Amino acid sequence: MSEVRAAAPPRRRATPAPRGHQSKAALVWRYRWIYALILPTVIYFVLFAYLPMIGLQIAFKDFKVFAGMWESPWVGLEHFRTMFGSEKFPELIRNTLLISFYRILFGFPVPIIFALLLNEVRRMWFKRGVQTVTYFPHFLSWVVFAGIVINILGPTGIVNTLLVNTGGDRINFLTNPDSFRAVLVLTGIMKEFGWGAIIYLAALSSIDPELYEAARVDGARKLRQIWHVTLPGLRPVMAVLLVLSLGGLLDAGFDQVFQLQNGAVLEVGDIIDTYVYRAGLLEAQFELATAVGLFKGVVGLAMIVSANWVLRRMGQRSIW
Amino acid sequence: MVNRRQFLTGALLATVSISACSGKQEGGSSGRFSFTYLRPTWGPATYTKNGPFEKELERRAGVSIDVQIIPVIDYDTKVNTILASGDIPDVIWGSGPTSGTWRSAQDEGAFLPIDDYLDKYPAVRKAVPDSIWKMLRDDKGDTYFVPNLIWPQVPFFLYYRKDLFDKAGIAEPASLEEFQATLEQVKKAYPKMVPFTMGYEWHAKEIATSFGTGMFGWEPAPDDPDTLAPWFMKEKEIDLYFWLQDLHKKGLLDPDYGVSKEPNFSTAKLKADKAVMAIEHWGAYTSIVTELRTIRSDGAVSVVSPLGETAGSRAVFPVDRGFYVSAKIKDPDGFFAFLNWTLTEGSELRRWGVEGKTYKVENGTKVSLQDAERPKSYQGPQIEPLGFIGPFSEKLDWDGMRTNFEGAGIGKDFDYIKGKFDDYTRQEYFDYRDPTVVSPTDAKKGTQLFEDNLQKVAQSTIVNHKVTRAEWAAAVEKWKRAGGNAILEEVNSLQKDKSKPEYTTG
Amino acid sequence: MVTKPETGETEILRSSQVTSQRSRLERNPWWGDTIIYLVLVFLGLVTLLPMLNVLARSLSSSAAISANPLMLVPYSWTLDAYQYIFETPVLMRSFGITVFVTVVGTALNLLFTTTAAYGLSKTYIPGYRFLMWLVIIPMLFGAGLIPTYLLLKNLGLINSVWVLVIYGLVSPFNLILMRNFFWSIPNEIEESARIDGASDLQVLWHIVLPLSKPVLATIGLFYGVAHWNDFFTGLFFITDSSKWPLQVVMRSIIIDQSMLGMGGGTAPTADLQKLVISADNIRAATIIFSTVPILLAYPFLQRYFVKGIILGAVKG
Repeated sequence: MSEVRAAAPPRRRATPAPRGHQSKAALVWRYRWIYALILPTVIYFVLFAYLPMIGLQIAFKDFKVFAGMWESPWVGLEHFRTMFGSEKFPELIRNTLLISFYRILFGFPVPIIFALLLNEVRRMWFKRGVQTVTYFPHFLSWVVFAGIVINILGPTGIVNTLLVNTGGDRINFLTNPDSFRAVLVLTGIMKEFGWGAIIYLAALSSIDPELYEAARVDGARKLRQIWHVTLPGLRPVMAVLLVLSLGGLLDAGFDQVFQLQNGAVLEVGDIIDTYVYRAGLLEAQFELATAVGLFKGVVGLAMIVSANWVLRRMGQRSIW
Repeated sequence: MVNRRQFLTGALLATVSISACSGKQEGGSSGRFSFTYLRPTWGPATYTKNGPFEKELERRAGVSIDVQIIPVIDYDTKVNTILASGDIPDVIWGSGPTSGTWRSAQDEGAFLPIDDYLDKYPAVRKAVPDSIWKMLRDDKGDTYFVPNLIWPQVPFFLYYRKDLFDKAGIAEPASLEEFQATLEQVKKAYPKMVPFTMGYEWHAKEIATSFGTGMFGWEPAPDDPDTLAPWFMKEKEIDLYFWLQDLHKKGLLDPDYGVSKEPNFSTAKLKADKAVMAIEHWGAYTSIVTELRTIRSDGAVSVVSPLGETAGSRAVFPVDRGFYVSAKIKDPDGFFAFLNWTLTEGSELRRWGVEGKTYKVENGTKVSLQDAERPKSYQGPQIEPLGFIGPFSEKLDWDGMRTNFEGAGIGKDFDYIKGKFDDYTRQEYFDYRDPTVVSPTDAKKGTQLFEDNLQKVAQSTIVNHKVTRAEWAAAVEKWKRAGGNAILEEVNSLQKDKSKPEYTTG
Repeated sequence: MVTKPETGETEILRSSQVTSQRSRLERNPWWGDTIIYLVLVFLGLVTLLPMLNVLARSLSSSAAISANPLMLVPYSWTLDAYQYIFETPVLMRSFGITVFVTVVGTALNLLFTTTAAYGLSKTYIPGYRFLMWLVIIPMLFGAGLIPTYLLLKNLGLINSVWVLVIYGLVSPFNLILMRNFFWSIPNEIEESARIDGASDLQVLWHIVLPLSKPVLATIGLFYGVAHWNDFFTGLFFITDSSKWPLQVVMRSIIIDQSMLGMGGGTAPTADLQKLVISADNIRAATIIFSTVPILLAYPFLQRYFVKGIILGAVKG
């Protein structure tokens, strides 16, 4: 099997040019067209992403909406104290992290497996049909999809109606603290797996068929082909998606949680964003929302940096 | 096929003619006063500029209105960006001085003080009761905000399916105890249906009066009429919560309560043989009955009279938003003259619209047409954005209601519903706290204090059967220690007048 | 220096060849296929049923919906809801705006993203890491609504349809994904072209892009769908409701705005009689109207996932 493994090349690029003896300026000049390709995007980011970041100062200010942010007085870390000092903060962090973690643990593999299964289908009409159907829920907003979820799993939804009609007991999927997070994760998967598979399907189509050929010649069975050819081929995409999803670890899916949570499951289902929404945005406290955004960004950055470091240690291509 | 040059020329001409038009308007060659107007809309945001009604209004009033709408659900967020940008439209809707953001923008000089104009245009002043104007004045005695009034009595009726009651021989309950017993009977008679359902806590506000309290408000403490206490410290209101918890536990209250976020799921169930009793806005009677008839021709709905001696209705503060005039408006007189016009000569047009389009005349009386009967360009979403204020006296319109009932073919039910309305509103409960008196601690961190300490019991009690009274009491203690005491103190010291509010005088 | 392949040729496999090669691969045993199809049918049903429910609602009378909320086939058939949509001029116009923004916006997105991603796939350029940071930071730190509004105002973009096109021109996420795909193109192909004297732009245009159709289709789809679903930009940065995209109008129809202020703890002040909740069938039909067109774009794009893709196998 070692040959097969070797046949899946680590797509490392040969260092292209002799560089040691060139000055940095000369190198920059040499690659001027490459820079020219990047430049418009850099300008876009500086203008539309970095310039408005001046506004992040309101996280440290008592924002007076009409006077504007420059006239508003500084209040130091008050909004951060509000956030970290909240009685509920430990619970919110725990819920947010757990829900995000479960989402990655269970939700991350599903689109991959789905794409692999689809890849085995030869009937094109079936393949396209399944693909189109499964990606439909992505277009429903959570307001709508949550309504559907409640129609299915709610106290008087399809499942419970069937249970009660067959003499069983009602199961409180949505109001039981033990099952609520599972419902969040499962319905999240249900809504997004078809959409999530698209990127893997694209990646599958770029795997060199010769590698399969080589594996077949080596007598590799189907599952081994998947293990030794397909998965390594998907690895770069998987790695990058995983790392980027870690960056959003403290976003546990506001829209979904907000629509599905209820009074009975607050202790397991209330996340940072739903809390900030209720405590802050309803009262138009932009400062608190900005402070929380900063905090989430810093944590996300730390996650991305460490995940990237791990990637590099594993010999994978890192993000930067 | 149109070739490219023709297309470009056409486009160019169109641009020129558009700019020429707008130039004329701004130049005021017609002498028209024009202003920009930003307001929320509650219906579908399908407003089209310069529709026939808008043209008619502008023609008759001699103004030109540039309307911007925002769906109400996103209004507050968006309006903050607009305030912050400094580009304030000439007339802008907002929550008024009861909200911190608006009050601070008002104090910072964003808006025009309007007292002089109220003196000059008496119809505007007359449209709003003096008690309300008084409450809206700031510390210096200036008024900035023109309130949009609502009728303070909005009872939520306890509806029930009369046909189902009759079939099972169940009688209408007359007290809370009987109500609970009735629900048990209903459950036995119709095991597949939900005995009783409601959409939100707030819908229980008339049930709360059966406990002798007005929901979600501050009331004088039982032993001390000079100290106001918030709703979560009132024993009677806590009683209500645990009573509802008990109903929920026993399967008498809809298990979908607190879970389903479908709008009107409770009345949908009532109509569809899935629930036998439901609480809904008193004005929903016509729609419930007419839709029930399409599903079930023998269906009938009645309203339970207020349950018990203390029962009545909790009134609400009769202001739901309103508008400010920008400090930078060019011609405030022009605007107030227009507003005055809508309340005098223009009153007919404002209230009824255009004959044959938005209303018809039957036997000498005007009958408002439902949206389905109107031409598309005269339906609600086209008219609503052009609304300003209406006088308080119009907010409860029994004549209009009667014609609506007649139009829906249930004219004979009108007296019944009006009678129920009178039953419910005979005894009124209030929020004794004056929303225009600001407690600084509350403004600063009131929401967070509530979220951190009380939200769990407040939002969970009914559906989470593990919550106990002791927990509720402990949560209140925690809230007090964390800063609630300061709020209690401030509210009680700053609000001098702790008597029963009077919304309707003057 | 990369040695030129012995044949001196790079070969791009066409779809027919891909399929023929695939078919030579070992077939699944019958039970394996059965399991695969069963699982896929199950997953398909899980997502098809909600879709049928929405579709059936859109074709039913609204009284029938409250009686049978879980319907999969329409009860008391009616096209009223669709008639409402097609007779509402604002919906038709906002649909046109959304189509325009999606088409033009996606084209610009792809132009900017492709060029930058190609540039950033060259990890050896000086300042590479700095540039990558520049891209990643905005993904984590949003600037907030008010400063963005002020910026767009100063740029004269507030109230212009172009704000829908330009705001979100490059997504860091898509940029990184595309860059990674460029990495997977064997270096040899590019190098051989360079040796033939091609410039960077020529390599990108003539070699890299034709090899990247699946990625372009995918990222284009991501951008297109993002434009299509975007209500935020339109709502916050366009004040003139006649320039709103479909999603803003649609949201006001399908969201129950009466939920406002109904939360626990505070008494709502909203005048409940004023609330207009659209009929259930209109809400459903609006959903169908606003999703089906973009849904249909996908099967069309799917062909790029197989055709023309791959990969120059470097014969050796």
